[in-house]
Amino acid sequence: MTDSRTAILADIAAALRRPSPHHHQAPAPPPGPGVPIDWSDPVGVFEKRFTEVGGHWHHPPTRALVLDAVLTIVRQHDARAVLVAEDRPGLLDSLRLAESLRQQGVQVARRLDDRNRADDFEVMITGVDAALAETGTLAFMISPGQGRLATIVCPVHVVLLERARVVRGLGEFLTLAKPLLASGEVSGSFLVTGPSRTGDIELTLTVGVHGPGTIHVVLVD
Amino acid sequence: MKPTSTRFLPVADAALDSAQLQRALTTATGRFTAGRLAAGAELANWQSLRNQGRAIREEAIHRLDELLLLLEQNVRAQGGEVFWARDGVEACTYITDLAHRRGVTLAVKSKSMTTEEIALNDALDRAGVTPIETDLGEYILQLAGDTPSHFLAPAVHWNRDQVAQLFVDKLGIPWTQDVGTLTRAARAALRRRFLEAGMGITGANFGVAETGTIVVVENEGNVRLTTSAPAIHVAVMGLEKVIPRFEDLEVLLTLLPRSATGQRMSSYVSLLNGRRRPGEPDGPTEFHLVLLDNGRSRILADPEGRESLYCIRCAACLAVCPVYRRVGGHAYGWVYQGPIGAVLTPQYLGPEAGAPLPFASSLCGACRDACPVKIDLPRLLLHQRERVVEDVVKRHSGFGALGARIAGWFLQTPARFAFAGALVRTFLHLTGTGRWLRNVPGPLRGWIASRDLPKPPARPLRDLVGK
Repeated sequence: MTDSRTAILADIAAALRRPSPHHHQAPAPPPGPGVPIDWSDPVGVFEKRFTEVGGHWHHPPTRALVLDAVLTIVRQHDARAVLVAEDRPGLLDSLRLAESLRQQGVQVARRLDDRNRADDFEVMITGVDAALAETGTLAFMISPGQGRLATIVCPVHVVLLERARVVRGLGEFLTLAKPLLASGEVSGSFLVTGPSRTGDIELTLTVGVHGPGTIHVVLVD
Repeated sequence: MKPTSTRFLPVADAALDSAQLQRALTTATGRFTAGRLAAGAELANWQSLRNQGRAIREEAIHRLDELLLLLEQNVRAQGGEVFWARDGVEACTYITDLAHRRGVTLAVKSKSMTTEEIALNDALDRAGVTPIETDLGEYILQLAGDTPSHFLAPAVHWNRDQVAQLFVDKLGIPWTQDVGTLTRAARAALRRRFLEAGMGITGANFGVAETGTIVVVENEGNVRLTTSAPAIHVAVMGLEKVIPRFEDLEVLLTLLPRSATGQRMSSYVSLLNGRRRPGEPDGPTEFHLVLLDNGRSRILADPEGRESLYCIRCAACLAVCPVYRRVGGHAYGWVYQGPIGAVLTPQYLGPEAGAPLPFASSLCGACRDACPVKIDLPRLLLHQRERVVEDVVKRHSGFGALGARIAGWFLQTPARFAFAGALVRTFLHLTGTGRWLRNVPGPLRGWIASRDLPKPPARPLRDLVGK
């Protein structure tokens, strides 16, 4: 093993001693402005781009009505059992979401203890760490209460989004994520843009391949 | 994948005669290009993003050893294993040995051309580990025993009726033309596999040296499940995929989806820093990064050819190539198709195995204009043509040297050159009457078969202008 490593590194070092005749180390120009986006309303930009990729947008007028909105979605999908994550900031618990759904007769699990029962759950409800307005993207950091499967395993994903989590785009997200990933504090992060999709058969867009085919965002003021 | 690139012409001929394939290619490449142009046009800074992307890739390739060591250090620091593989055999052996040590008999895989390159599935099969492709296109091809014809949309040459019949035969579902139903059948068949598999194998779009992050881009969610459910995650990464900084992802993750599928962002981007941390409820307990050379350091050693290592595999050059759009991917006979495939295949497999490919181009330059990192593909194609010709001359050295000696003698003085011209002129006029050359012997015949060449004039220009 060490042999291969040494050999490869020696090959690369030898190869690089021959500089490319087309190599010019001119510094790249800074990115210019993209298509002008009205940043006075980043949440509005996110809503537009999120719905353009097939997401469903909900904006209950008050915090008290968030539960009703979630319950409506759960009923709309005929879900008897739902997964309710424990998001890092604790938004879901501060809304007492799990208890309230249980009171309404919905079967609630806080985590997937038995993976073989994954298909019992029609809906997964999570928080989100950032929402990237420019691309309509949701960004999730892995955390103890919201692991890897919690944002991929069910056919329907309901995301509770606080207004303050909306950022402009990738650049701001990378700034947020870098310290968590570089320090090794979390093992990964996921960007999710719209439903799971494929075009592998005749380029016909089909949603809901291995991940959720339906994704809802409920804005929490 | 067993290369068949030397059979470019017969396979291309068959492709041209297939009406179904022609329809599929026209639709697919047209849509890819329209999507890319719209997604790029939306950003006023698209051109400067391309320059930046190129600068990042150029820097990475010119700091390759240093960045790979940094990547290795950061992956190890977070508990991951790093294995350096000189070739496919070393990479496959490492993965099958690992599977044996852990008692793994089933592995789920996401689409990875790097693993196609090293025929990992065959190695796993031989070692008693069943590999399951989970990308829908790759799953179709695996069920059918077929090979990818497009490194982004591997089953682009299949139509829905063929998929329907395949699923009737292999999955036992009722025949349907509904793509949604077919997709759900694949989902249902693969669902248990994710949970049963002991190992998940992915490729890597980028490896961030600075943070040890492996980035995988996809749309279906199969990468997400492949890297979430099994106890072991193995990422196979060509060593040119390293990038220096985490922030570089802003440029590269803007360029790649827009150039590939015309999406602002692919449905899923996984930024993975190895195995599950204490307290995390799921995810692999082991992470292995296989850094694959397999010819890349040799490509790097060619200063004229190394620019092909900048490629981020968006496949934009395939969609705009007037040759790919007609002959499809199988004619290229290996893992990479289109203009970039015509450059990479002879680089990886040698000029003899890839011989026809660099010539399968009109050098129109559409690929260079489409490339998000501005790879000068026409220049690289010409460079590969030179290598192929040099190789042919070397392999037929007696014949080539004699020809060169004869040509050299005629080119030595103006008188000899004029004499040679007169000989050729006289000879060509002996082939028949009429303005155009029609009836010529030998290798010229093939050239004339599809082109018109006027006969040379009775008096050459040299005579008209005087000595």
